[in-house]
Amino acid sequence: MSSRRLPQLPSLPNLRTYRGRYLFMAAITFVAFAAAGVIGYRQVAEVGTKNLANIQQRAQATASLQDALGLLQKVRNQVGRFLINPPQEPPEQLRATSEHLRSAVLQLRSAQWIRQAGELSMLADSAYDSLFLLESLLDELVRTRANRRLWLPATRQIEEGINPDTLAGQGLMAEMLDELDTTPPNAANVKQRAIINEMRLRWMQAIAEVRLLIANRFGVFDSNTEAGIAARARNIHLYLDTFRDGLAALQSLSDKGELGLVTQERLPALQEIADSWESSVQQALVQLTDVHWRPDLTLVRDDIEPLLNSLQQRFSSLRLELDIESARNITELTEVSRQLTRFAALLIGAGCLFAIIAYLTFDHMLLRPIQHTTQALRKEARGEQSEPPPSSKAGEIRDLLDAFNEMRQQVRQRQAHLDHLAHHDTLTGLPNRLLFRDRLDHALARAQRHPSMSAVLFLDLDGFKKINDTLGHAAGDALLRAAADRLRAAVRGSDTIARLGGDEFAILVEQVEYRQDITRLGEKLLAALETPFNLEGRLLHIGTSIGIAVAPVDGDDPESLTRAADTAMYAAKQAGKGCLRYFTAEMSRQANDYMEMETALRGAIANQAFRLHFQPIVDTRSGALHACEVLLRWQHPELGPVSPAVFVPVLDDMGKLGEVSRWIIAQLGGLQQRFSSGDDRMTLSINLTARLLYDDAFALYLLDQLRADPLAAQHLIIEITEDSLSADLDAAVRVLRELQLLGVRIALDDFGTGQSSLNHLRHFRFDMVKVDREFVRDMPHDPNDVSLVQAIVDLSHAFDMQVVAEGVETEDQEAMLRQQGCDCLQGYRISRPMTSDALEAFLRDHAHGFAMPMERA
Amino acid sequence: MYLRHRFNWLHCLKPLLLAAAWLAVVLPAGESAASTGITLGVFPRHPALETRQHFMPLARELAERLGEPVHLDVPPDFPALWERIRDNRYQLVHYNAYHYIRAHHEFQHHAIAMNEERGEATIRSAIWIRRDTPANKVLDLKRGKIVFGGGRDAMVSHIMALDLLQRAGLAPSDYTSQFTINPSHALLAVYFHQSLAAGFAADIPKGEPWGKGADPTLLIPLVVSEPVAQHPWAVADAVESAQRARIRTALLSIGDTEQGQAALKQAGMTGIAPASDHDYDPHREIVLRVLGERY
Repeated sequence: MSSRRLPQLPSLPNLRTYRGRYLFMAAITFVAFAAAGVIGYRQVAEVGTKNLANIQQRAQATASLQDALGLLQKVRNQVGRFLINPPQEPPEQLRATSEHLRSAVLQLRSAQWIRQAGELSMLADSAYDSLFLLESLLDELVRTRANRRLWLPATRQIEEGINPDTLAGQGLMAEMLDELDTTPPNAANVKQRAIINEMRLRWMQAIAEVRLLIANRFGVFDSNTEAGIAARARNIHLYLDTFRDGLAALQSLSDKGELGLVTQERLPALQEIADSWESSVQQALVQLTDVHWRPDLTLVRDDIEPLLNSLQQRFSSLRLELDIESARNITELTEVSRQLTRFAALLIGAGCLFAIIAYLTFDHMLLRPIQHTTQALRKEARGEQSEPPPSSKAGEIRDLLDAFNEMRQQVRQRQAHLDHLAHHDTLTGLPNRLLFRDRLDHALARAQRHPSMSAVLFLDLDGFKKINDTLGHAAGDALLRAAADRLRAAVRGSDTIARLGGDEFAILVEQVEYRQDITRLGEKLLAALETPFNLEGRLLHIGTSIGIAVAPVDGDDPESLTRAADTAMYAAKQAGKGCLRYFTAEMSRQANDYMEMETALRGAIANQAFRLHFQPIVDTRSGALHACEVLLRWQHPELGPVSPAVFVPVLDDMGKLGEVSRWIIAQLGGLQQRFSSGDDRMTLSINLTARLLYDDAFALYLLDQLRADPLAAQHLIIEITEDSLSADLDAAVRVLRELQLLGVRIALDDFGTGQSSLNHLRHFRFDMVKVDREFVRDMPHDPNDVSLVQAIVDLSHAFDMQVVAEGVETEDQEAMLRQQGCDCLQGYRISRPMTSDALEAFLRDHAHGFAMPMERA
Repeated sequence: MYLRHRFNWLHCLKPLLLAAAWLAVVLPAGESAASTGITLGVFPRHPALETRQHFMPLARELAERLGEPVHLDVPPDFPALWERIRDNRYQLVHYNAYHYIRAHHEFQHHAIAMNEERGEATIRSAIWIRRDTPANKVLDLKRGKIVFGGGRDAMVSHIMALDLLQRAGLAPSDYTSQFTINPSHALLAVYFHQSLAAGFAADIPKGEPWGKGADPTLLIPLVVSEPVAQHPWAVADAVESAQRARIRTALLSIGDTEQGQAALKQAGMTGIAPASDHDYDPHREIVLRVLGERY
């Protein structure tokens, strides 16, 4: 059955990691900004759409309103022109304009912006309705203006009354004058003619005044029409009165029968016409002076003009509303713009706040932990104690802190281990020189604050070197550990015991009141180390020499106090070891002497101030010269000759013994040839400490020198001091065997004084054994020495080694050694050490062999 | 005019509801108005339909208190109102103060109560300017444009405002006047820099007509008139004194109940206070000063 694995769904980000938090915050930020963008866009779009619609609607309404206002003004102008001169402004145009106005208002009424607002709609509706009234008024105006009797009601009196009567009167008076023309002139006729002419003149003047009155009515002469009309009316009456006077004169003539027939007949008619004319004029005057003397003007003033003003006012109100709405839209857009600005500022603020929070979070969650960790790392690097950095909830930082804490712990462990290593001796576990010095420093500082006595006990194990050399480093190390345990057991818990190096120990004793307490402690230490050590079943005897320096008497600083204790320890050594010595000024002087000797020796090495002396070694049986031992001598510039026993250890301590030995080895070939007898070179014997053979460089130098001069090797004896041979002979043995292969003979010097003499013989086949002068000195009186020397001789011979007795000074010693079968003798009995020149003389004197003093005697 | 573009179902339903209400109230009234109940005429302070909607609850409250039907009639405009008053169609009329003193003069209508708006039974007129207008006194408005709302007959918005200007030394020829479609739009004209000043009541309404972003506190009154009585409620001369007292008592008690308070609020009032014809003597003086009309 096969199972199909479902595809792995993407998991939600882990908010405990920075990656997860970053993704989460990025998602939130994206959503927030996207939402803000959408909201802002929608708001702008909504307001923009609304205002765009408003602007379009207002534009539509404004266009219609402008048309309406323009047309309204046009109507007003046309009405004015029509009133003044109707032919110039045809009624058709007036009607067309009013229809256009109605069309514009209809359009305004239908504008969406108007229709949506009830009050505006009502206003537009009322304006539209008023236009019908306007049109009817305009029609009435046209009708009125088209009919002269309608637009000027006085026309009727003028046309039907004044004008016919005027003509009739003139006709009658003309007939009267014609009659006079046909009648022969006489005085009556003349008078009658004068009266009729006077009447005719007044009649014409009255008619002219009527015309002037009408002209006055139309404002032809004066803006003050009422006064002009009144003046004309008075003139008319005056002329009519004069005319009537003529009529009365004619009537008088008629009564007298002086008138002609025609005039007689026409006179009543003229009287009647005059009355009628006056009546018509009076009626016309009444109409012309009436407020409605022109109905078209009344119509315009009382109806059309107020209606136009009302329309104008309504249109103005609409335009004001449009302006208000525009201003409101601008304000709203400004407010939206302000809101958007605020929104943008808010977004910027939010962005800044977000950035600050992000930084603070970043700082709190990431930078500070890293900073703390860095500081902790630096402190750790400086070796200072640091608090563990505060933990973090973020996975990455927590991992980092965990790794840091783990590293910190391991570093501390290693540091502690290194500190322990740096401040403790790995072999014994005791504090080392560094820690001892530190504690001594603190102890001296405390002693300065609270005056008290502190002491440094400097211990150097006696005989340890020999055990180490003979039994090997492992035994030496075991012995040191055991010695350290005993010393640790002997001191107080508050005391500091340290291993300074090799077999040197130091003990710091603080808060000491009495010198005796120090002495008791020293004696306790001496006793502790005098007890033999049982190492792997072997009892080893060592002791110790103790130098004691007391602060602040012998020094108030670690260096001087330790040096003083060291000096005192050397004094104890020189005093025979196994004892303790307090530091004294004399010791200091001796130490200075030692340092001065070191300085002088360095000068000697540099100036090649050493000299070689030679002491013959003769064959016991033949008395022939067997060899000469080369002995190093030094003449101190001030002290004179210094014993090798004094300066050679100093050279050894200085590490210059190898250099001096090389200097000797370099001269060997020449010396052998110098002291040769014929072709046979003189055999020379030199002393080497076995420690030099452990030095590979020195061993190589020695072998190279001898390989370069094989004869020198064949005439060379190297004496190895027994106490310089360690138990581990392997390294030295390899060099010694190579030397033997080159023909060099190897002698074991001071045989019998060491603790492993026999052991050395077992590990290496020496060519020669030199019996130490200690065993020879008391011969032949000391039977032990005699037996011991005999045993050595027998043993050496058993190992096929020659035996050389050193320090032979007396004849008895020579005789005993000869009797015991010793092969060669060396000592004052044969010759004291001598210079090369003396040796040459000595050789010349004994060219045929050496006679023993005893024999010579 | 501030246009709302959001689709509002209530606005769509409003005409239908009002039509239904009108049928419910007016048609029965048309049949029996002459025989029973009283007819209340209300001057069209707002468009007639809107005014009717405002006063319908109050008419119901009044009917409830009188124990007889109250037929609400809102004419479309002032001429129609005037014509119906002339025809003695109303026993009770809610007037503009100017129309009241004319009606009192011509038809012997008598004020028995008056509006109480925002807790006040009096009202003051003011000349409003923008706070940033460099004018400290009325004379600084010379040669400027001043707008008025509510028409030439509006007592507070026009006549009293003219009186303020006139008494301060500003004749009508000293400024350009213009009318807005309603009183509050006169304030808008000032606010939106379309006019230097406006005549309006001393208290600015909140909410409408201010649109988004407008701040009414930018307007300040330059001069304020003495308080005068609010819009009157008047009865016809033919109404007997007992009936007159009943109507007066009913009007004054409308605010005693929560329902009545709601009805008053719907009509833009906070209460109805007692009034008499003498309360409108100051109006008469103002009209005489401004319009030269003696009532």
